[in-house]
Amino acid sequence: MQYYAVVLLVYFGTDLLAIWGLNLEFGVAGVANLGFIVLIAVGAYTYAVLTLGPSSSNGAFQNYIIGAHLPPAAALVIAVAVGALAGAVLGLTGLRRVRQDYQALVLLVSAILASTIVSASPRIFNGDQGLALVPPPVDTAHPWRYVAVVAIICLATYPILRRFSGGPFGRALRAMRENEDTAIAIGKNVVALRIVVQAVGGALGSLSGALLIGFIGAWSPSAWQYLETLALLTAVIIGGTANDGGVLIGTALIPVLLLQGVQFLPSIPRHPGLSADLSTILFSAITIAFLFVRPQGLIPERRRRYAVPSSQEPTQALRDFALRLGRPEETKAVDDRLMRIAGLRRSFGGVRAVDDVSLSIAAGLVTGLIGPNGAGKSTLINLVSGTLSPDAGSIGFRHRDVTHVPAFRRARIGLVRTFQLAHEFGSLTTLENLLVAAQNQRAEGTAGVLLGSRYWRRQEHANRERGMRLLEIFGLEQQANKRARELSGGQKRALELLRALMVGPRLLLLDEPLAGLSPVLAERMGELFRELARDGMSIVLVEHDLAAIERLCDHVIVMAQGRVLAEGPMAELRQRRDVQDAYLVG
Amino acid sequence: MSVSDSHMRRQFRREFLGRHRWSLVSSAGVIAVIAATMALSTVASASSKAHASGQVSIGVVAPFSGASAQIGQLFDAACVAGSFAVNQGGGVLGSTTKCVEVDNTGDPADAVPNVSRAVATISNFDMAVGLDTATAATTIPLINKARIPLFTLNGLAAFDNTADQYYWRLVPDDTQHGAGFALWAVRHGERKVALVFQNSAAAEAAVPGIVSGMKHLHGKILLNETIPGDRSSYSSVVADVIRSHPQAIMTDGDPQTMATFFAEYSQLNHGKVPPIITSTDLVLPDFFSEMKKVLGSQFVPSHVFFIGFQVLNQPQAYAAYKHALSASFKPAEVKALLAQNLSILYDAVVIGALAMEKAKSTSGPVYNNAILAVTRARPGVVKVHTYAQGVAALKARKAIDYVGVEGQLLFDSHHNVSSAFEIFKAHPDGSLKSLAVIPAAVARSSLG
Amino acid sequence: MNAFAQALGFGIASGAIITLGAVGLTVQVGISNVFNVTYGALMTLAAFIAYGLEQRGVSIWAAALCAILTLGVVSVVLNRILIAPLKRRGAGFVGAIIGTVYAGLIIQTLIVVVAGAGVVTYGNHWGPTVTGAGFTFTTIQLGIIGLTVACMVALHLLLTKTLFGRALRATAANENLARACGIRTRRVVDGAWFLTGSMCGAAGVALALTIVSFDFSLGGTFLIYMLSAAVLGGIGQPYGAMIGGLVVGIASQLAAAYSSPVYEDVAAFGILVVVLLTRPRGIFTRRGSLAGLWET
Repeated sequence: MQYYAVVLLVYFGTDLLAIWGLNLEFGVAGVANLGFIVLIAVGAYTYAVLTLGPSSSNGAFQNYIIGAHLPPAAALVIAVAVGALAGAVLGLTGLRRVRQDYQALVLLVSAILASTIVSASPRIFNGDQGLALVPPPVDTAHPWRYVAVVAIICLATYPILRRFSGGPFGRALRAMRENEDTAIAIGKNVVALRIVVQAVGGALGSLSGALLIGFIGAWSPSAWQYLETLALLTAVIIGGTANDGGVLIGTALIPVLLLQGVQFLPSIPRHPGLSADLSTILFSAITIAFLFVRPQGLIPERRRRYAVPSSQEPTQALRDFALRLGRPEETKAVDDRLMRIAGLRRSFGGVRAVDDVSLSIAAGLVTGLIGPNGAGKSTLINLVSGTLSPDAGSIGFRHRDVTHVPAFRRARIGLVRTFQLAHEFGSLTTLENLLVAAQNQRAEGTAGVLLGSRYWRRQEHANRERGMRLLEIFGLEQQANKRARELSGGQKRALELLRALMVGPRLLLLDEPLAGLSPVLAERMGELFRELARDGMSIVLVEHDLAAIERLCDHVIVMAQGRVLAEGPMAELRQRRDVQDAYLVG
Repeated sequence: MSVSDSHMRRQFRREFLGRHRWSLVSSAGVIAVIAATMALSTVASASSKAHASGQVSIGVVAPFSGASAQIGQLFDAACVAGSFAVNQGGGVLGSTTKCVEVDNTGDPADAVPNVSRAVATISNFDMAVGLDTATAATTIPLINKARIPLFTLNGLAAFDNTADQYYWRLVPDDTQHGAGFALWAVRHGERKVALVFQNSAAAEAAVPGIVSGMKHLHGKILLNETIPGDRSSYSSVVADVIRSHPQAIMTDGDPQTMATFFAEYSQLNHGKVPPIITSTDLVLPDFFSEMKKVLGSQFVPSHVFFIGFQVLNQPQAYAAYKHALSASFKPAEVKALLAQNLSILYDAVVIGALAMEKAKSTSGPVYNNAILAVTRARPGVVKVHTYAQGVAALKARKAIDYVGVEGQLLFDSHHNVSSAFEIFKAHPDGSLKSLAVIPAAVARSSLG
Repeated sequence: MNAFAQALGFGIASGAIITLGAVGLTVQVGISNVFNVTYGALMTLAAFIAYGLEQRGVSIWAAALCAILTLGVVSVVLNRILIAPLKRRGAGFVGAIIGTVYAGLIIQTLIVVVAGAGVVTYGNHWGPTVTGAGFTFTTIQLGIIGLTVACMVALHLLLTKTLFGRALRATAANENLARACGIRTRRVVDGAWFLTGSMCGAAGVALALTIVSFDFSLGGTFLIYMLSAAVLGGIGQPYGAMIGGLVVGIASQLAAAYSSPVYEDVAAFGILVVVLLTRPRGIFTRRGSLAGLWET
């Protein structure tokens, strides 16, 4: 009985490590790694071939590579490193920004393929027979010592895990999960983030596998078929994604209680495997039910609440500080032509959405972009922001050719866009929506994650102050700790703009920011645009409300049928016949 | 504008605790869950592990679920027969015996919690039989740790020199098995062979022995390919084999793969299939029924040679075995079961029970060594062939040597048995007929 | 026997089954925007339904037909109760794909519970072998190739010449717009799932007939091949999947012939990964009959 308790605790511990890894990947970062079991296998095999002696010993009944007979601690560290590498390699499947469910499928298939290859390669890991007689790291006469080892490793891993899943880095991951396009628009390198996450997840999975094989002494392909990932995934989904505490519950419930508890059902004669099969059906059905009814799991993701400083009357100095984002350099643009577009072309199928567009945007002006539906305005915005790539032509920004610069990098150098439909990070709080948009966060770099909060505390605090000041512009400071998805439509639109401002743009591309806003809010926004322009920011405004355009914009560009029809002050354009015709024709 | 450092720190600390509140609660919840699982298992196991009088449980450790579930059923049947024989002979030290299924699922990682739970909760779990190849490696140490004598059928070479004294292997290891393949082929005049083995643990195990055996006997392996299971076609491998013009094909795998492979072979080669040499592991109902449906009822009797450890079918023991089976299963099932090479597990149960009687204890550490004592052939020892005979002789304070259906078992210092090999062919009704016997020494020596 | 020609022949034969499955799969993705990973388990289900009927005395061909039609219905139900709702609910595409993975596991386990984990077979229906020009085919393989070709032609005619086909293409391109135009999109989607479900069933039974003896894991690895073919041809492009199936079949058989059998799987997977990393849109970039979903 004692030994059974030992087994349960060791399995709980190793499952916990694995599920933490999967939770980081799927729950926090939204990467559905359906091939996660491979990473556990990597850890187990690596540990095995490092701690076993050369394969020719022991009668040469097992064929495997390496066989270095290393001490367990060294083997464990190496196994974790190899796991991180393997995770990163798996992460490369997302290199071309494939759609996420597609990547999930590729990862699933990788797991199938990996076990097929290992089974068929007798010389690498002894094929389908697997490896046996792996030296136990701890004297087997005292199994409780192993429980202690596993417990200590879990406790030591937890704070490291929190550095990735919590703090500003975790915040960036959650933002990426919520809305990838928006995350890119605020300068997050989502491909790199995902690879990092997969590496960390891989390290955790590997650690889990290495500890497990140290305990049970053997491993073979039957232990890591691709469906094994599902038991772990269920624990994440049921326990509560992105919540490390919920993960504990999920781990206890599924691998331990459910899968073990089912064995206690009386066995039915002639159908001895029935209880195992029923438990499989049960946990699968429960998981699907959770996906429907409670996708956030039993214990949902925590809201990060920050203390809201007592509201003081925002002084002008504070506002300026917030808006100007502490940029000490020139506030007035040196070069009038902040952005130059030449010969830009983009087609979809046979339709030329943007047809040889050339124009330039001046600094310090509010430029309007108008035109009937289908004129190509949204496509142009997408091309400029980097969401789409052009078929031909070039885009220059701040003396740089950004035609082939990826979208996230454009955001980082000050080319920021908003979206037509509010693209907030729903499950993050209002304030977090802004915080995540701050640039050059020390906390998001490797050093920041590893060094911990002491390293980035000050900067984070400064960002919070700035975020609060921005919220005050639209009176959202009381909503700071509310989840963004609970805001009203107008509030979300305001947040959209504030988030873009938090990035510290030089050029703001606003896609119909005023549509559907209450007149008061629309007016306030308009005032803000003018104020920002006065400070040297460039704003490009796509709108249908021609009155607002006239009121706010210094310069207006009219597009029709993918081409630039006319440019100039609104009053002038109103008189032109071709502009009027374009709107009628559509 | 600047905020004091201590304020910042306080704020962060507050957040830290708030953040971890849930984790602390969850940890407490988790301990509760684990405790509940333990309580559940304590309730489920009716009594403690004390060796008071009570039914002796014989654990049948094998896969009872998943793809290999058939193996568990077969092992269980043999155990049931043994248990019946023991109970009929008066039981062990006044208690009856019972076979209990211990599902090791065929997955080495899942096997550990299952088997350790069984060890913890099954009352009087004093003997174990069984084991398939896939999960053997993790299961054997567990049962040894629990000091339960374990009799197994798998020839996993890894445990050739094991120091686990509770592990008793009743079949020769896989390398010798492979040598048997080679010997038969050469003796039968088939020096040029093609090896096509499925890449599963159980199937491939014989290959090293075949390779060294053929080398030593100056045979020639024309090609050696492994095939994955569950494929829709093996066309390319089949084509390769046909092109190499083998005199015989050596193979092993699961019934489905074999059926698919040889059906394709027959098709591609216009019905001509060379002799097939395989292991008695394939003497399974599924194999016969599949091959019959797919290639006709004459295929297996005319083409296939099964090689396995020798079954002497000592008459008295065999009669007792058959009687025990008939008491527990329907006649059709008995016929099928007799065709399998399972009698050795029946023998194991009997041996274990006799050892318990001799040591006057059902406790593993006490009766483990008596297993040797009741199977040793020495001058002056009484040879017994059934449990009842053995008990009677023990009561008369005689030393006994149980020679069961398998014949004389010779355990070496590692508690492994070497035995002769026998070559079988199948009758159309599925029963086996013996063609030849290869003595153990010959098999060993052909390995060089 | 020329090894190359033989491998080519094997490739065509296996390519036919892959095509049959991949086209159904890719159309499902095209119409619902969700990868139906249950596809593999559904193929197995069809094979077992046919087996069950055949055991009870029905002729194998009638049993196959029943299984195929049943699978059409099952697929419609699957979409209605699982895939569409999950998509709608903001579990999103990832949630939907995860749901289908679990649903596949449930179906597979149910098969084990009902029919056992053992091996079954319809018996050998391969028919006489036909040899010619270095190729060797069994009659059933020729039959399956013929069936696949017939299905593809029928699909083409359906998509281009019939009202339903046009409605299907419209719904795949833009469901809201199609609905606004008066197309009964719900019915169209149901119809599409019935059609592709039947193709799934047909692929399952064809696979079972080819493999001769099978068990509950029938559809397992086959998923790699169908997915590879669908990706190669472009997701949502049925014509692409037709070519893709042939290419994947031949490539994997050639790989197996010239090196070890495990390279069959590796070749298929390799195609998948290479296409994904270099030309995710697949080989057919022009929008075919169904809208591709590559564009953001």
